[in-house]
This record gives sequence, C-alpha cells and structure tokens, in this order.
Amino acid sequence: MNDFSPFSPGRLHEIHAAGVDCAAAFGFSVAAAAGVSEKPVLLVAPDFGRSEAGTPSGAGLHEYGLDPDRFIFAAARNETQALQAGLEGARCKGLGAVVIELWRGASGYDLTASRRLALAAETSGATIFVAALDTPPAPSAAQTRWRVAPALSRALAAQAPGAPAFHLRLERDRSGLSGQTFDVEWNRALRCFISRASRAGAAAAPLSGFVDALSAGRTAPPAQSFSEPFARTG
Amino acid sequence: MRIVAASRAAHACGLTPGLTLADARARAGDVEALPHDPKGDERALDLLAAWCERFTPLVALDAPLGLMLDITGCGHLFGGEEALRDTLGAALRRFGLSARAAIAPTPDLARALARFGGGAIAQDGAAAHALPVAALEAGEHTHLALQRAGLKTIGDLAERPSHILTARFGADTTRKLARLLCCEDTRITPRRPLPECMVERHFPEPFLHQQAIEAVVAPLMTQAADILERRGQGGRLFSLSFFRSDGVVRVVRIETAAPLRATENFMRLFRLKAEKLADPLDPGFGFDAIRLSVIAVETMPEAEQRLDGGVDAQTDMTAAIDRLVARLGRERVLSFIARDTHDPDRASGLAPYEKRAGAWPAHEEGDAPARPLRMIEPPLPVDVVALAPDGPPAQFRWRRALHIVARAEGPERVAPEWWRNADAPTRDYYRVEDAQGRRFWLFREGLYERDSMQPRWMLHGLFA
Repeated sequence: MNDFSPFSPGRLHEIHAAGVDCAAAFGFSVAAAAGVSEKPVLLVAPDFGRSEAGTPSGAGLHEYGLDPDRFIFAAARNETQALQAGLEGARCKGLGAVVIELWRGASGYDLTASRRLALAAETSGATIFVAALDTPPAPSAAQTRWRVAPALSRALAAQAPGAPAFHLRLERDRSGLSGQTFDVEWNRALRCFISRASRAGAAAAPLSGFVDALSAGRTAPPAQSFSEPFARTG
Repeated sequence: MRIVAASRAAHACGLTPGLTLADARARAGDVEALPHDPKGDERALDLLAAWCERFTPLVALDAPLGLMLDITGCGHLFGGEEALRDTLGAALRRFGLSARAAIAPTPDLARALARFGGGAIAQDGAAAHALPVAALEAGEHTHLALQRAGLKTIGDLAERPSHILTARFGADTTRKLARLLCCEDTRITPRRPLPECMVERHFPEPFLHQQAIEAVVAPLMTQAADILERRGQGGRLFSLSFFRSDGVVRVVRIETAAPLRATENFMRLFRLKAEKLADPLDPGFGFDAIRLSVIAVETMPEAEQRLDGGVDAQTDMTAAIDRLVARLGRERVLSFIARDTHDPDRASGLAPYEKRAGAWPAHEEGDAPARPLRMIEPPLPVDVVALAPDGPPAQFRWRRALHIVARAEGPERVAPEWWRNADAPTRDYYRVEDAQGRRFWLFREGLYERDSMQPRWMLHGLFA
C-alpha cells in the first residue's frame, strides 16, 4: 500500500465542505475512496442529501473515470441510519473504503461516533471518508481533515468547462504537515489528482515530470514527493 | 336494510338472513344490529387462515366463509385426523367462533360435508350419497329442477348415467358431481407458496420467555441448514412464524444477498430484524409453535475451509450487505445499473444490490466528464437569464443563490424517446460552470418558435 498517499488506509478521514459545494466534496471523496484499494466501495447518503444535492449517478461515476460496478450505494433515511450503515461497512474486511455523507451540523457524529468508526476501520482495514457538509469541525478521531471547494477549471475550447478542479486545504493531519493548500484537478484517464501548477508548466508533455502525490491510483510515488509537486498557495 | 348474517340466538327467534331490519325489530325488539363489514370479515378470515398454518402450510381461503386445509400427511403429527379436527374445532370455539369441520379426500366433498353433512370424516365418495342435491352448489334453478325430477340426494344423481345430467344441466354440474364422488380430484391454491424447506417446533405448554426465543430459533436454523446442506442449497428468503396461543401470528421475514446457511449469520440478521420491529415480538399468552420456512433457495457450493480458519473477504462482504439490508431494507441497498439509452433520466439507475458488470458506454474524448456525479430527480426548475433565447445561460438562481456563469458548453440536444412519451419536449443540455467553479448540468425544455409552450430551464445534476 502506498505509504505516501495522503489517505492512509484503515483510517478515518474527514472531508468538509459547504453545502453548495456538495458535489465537489462528493467527487473528491469518491475519487479518494476508489483510489485506496481495488476493493468495492460503499457510499452512504441520507435522504436529506439526496433531496438537497441529488442522487449519485452510475453514468456520472463512469464519466468521472471510476467503475460504477465497484460501488454499493446505501440510501439511509436519516443521519443516525447513515452512521449505522457506515459503521457496518467499516467493520467489513471485503470493502476497500466507505464514504459517509453527513449534512447540516450532524449532531450524531461526535467524538464517540468518530472513534467507533476509526476503531472499526483499523480492525477491518477499510478506509473511511466522512463528507461533512455545512458542518463545523469538531473534535474527532479522524486521521486527516480536509476542506474542499471547487475551483474554476481550465477552460477547454470555446470556454467549455474543463476537468474537475478543486481547491484543497489540509486543515489537520495527525502525522504532521497540516495547513497546506493544494490546487488540483482530477484526471479521469489516469485516475489521479494532478497539481495544477505542474500541469500548467508541462503543457507540452503533460505526463512527464510531474508526480501525482494525491494519487488515487496504486503507484507509489517517491518518498519526497508528497508536498513537492503542489504549488503552495496558502 | 337487511340482515346479512345472524347469530344462533337470532336464528332461534326466527331472524334469518334476508329479512329486513324493520321486520326483525318488530319480531324481537331488543335485537342488536351491527353494520355489515365484508372487508373486516375478509381480514378476519385471512388472520384465521394464518393461524391455521400451524397445522399445515397449505391453507387456502374458501371465501366468503370457509377455509380449506390440505392436511395430507399432517394428521399423525396431531394424533390422527380426528384429533386434528377436534383440536382445531376446540381452538376456534375458544376464539368465540362457531365452525363446522369435515375431512374428505377432495376439497369439494369436504366443503359439502361441512356445510350439508354436519361435519364428518369421509374415506371415499360414498359419504356423498346421503347429501342433499343442494350440496352441488349449482344454483337455485338447478336444485329446484333436480328436486322436481324427484332427485333428492347426491346418491340419486350418482345412479343416473352422467350424459343425461350433462345434457340437461350442463357439464359443470357433472364435473361438480364427479368431484363430490371423489372420481375427480382438484388441488387447492394455498395462500402462500409451499416453502422449499420448513422446520418447526410445537410446545406442549405455551412458550412464554421472550429471552429464550433465540434459543429456539437457533436450533431451528441449524436443522434447516442441515437439510439445505444435504441439497447443496442455501436460503435467500426466510420467514419465521410465531404462532401465539391467542391466535395472533407474527411473521418475520429475512432476506439475504447471497445464499445463507450459517446459523450464526442468520441469528445476527434475526436480532437486527427483531430489534427493528415497531411492535416487538411479544409472547403475550405464549407461543405455541414457532416455524422457520425457507421460501427461496439458491444452489450454494460447499464453502472452502481456509487453512488459517479466517473469514474470506467475499463472505465477509456478503454478510455485511445482509446486515445493511436488514437495517435499511432491500430497496435501500443499491447498485448502479446501466441502460442502453440516450435518455439521461433512464440511462443509469439504481437497483437492489447484486454483483453486476454493467455495459457502460465508452467515454467521449476529452478531459471533462459529460454526465454529472449527482442527478437531481426530478429536475428542479431554475430561473435562468440567457443572452440569446436559444443560447447558453448567463446567470441563474438556484436555492436563492445567484450563480454567474463563467464557462458553458452546449447544447447537447436530447430528443425524447417518442415510443415512450410522445409529448415530452426536446431538451437542450448545457454543462455550466459558475464563477466559483461549481459545475452544473442545466437543460432548456422545449424549442423556441417550434413548441407553443414557453421553454423553461431545469437543473438536472451537479458535476464535481
């Protein structure tokens, strides 16, 4: 397993975003979740999230570069059920990752709930992503906490929206290195996040010379590469 | 208002069905009348049928007022057919019901004996001979005609050549007669299909301990698992029936994602289901029987034992899915399915989870996904300002927030599938990005200058 991926497997990772940026948080979480292993991924969303921001779509996942057949979608009625279902998933060795979507000051997701998830993840080896929308950060047992916002994409021909771009901020990391920000875009063909700074510099040969540290693939980047390829903007 | 049904005491006073209520009141002033409730009768009969399933799994409704039990091979479990009938009769009397029961080789003869023969146990068609012709239940006209011909009993009819009867009263009457005389047999249609495998436990004394339910269910499952293992099968759908001594039957259904035989996993699902029941499994006056039926089975190969005794990841995953299904329900644990269509509403959908390999269409060239990660169903109307009537949106308002469009691509024109819905307007889809980088999928419904309706804008999805 890739030691230098920012998402250490078998841990709990929180992804925070504003409610309007739900799709960005979702896109970032599923890409990260699909990247940590080759195993199936469980998506859990409460009905509120589905009515607010839509239902995950198989065609969308496919267009995003992921295999929809790898995903299991659990439609929970409310937040409590979503956490319960997420915990069931976290206890399962057969799953590679679990993405749990929580909305609006998720009150059931407290230190105890996050510890429970983190413990289950450590035992089973599944990686847990909690996408917390419109939720103020609270003490939790998460390994990392990210804040995600969409970024303006590089336009394609005729001002068409380009590849999904994100503005990431690593707010907290138990293994050090927090407070960095990254501007990345998702490359659906390579299935990894690419730093936009390196991408812009290597326009002629886009694949050479950059290292995808936020790799969602399984290739292990060199040890020093984690912080290097990203332009520090913050 | 007329009398539909009358109690025994009312019959004794001469109040018979068909009499008007006013007449009845005139004959017996203190008569108590309740409105006729056929739906309620139906429900009661259905509950009674569920209760009767403790005697045999094959119970059919014989509407409006009868139940038909196929007790082939069940009699010895209750100490013989007569004992079974007496147990059943005593139980029904305890419920305050008056019932007549008869046992016969064919359903038709059993019914006739119950209604016209005072309830008897018949070994063959000879028992039908003494019954009146009304037992044919062929209609008032036929009965009258037969009586006028001097034919009073079924025995009289049995002596005549059947072609004469057929010529006079039709083939139905002859067939009915053959069934009464056990020359022709029919099957009943049970309320529930016969389970693939069934194990049950009857208690001589009502079973009162709620805590000990698991101690009864687990051995039942082990027993069922043995049967299934011998057949090389595993259960996909289980049903546990708890027969309470006061006649209530509680049924707990357990569905699994993959064939299941392991008692331990089954008990975990059962616990989840039982704690979720809105109305807990209350023994009340006690259960007198608990039955486990395996309704659906699938072939299940012998599990390979791992050398380290660990659990296979795949098995672990099916168990996790079963627990999710038990928690959320089958319709909420889903996988994505691909459909071969251009209609974005139908191109991809969700269906109860199973392992799939969908035929997802190949990507179009380019960096950007053409379909949104989240689909808003149904599409939401949004206020859009466009610079040209048929151009891309310039700004729009969604959930009270104004989004200024920075990038847009389109239109991608999607015509409705005319063979499904001829009236659906054409949609022009735009991929749109606002100044903050949020990406949306909007469409304009209808065409300018062609459709009479005012085109409207809808939000159909969100891109990452």
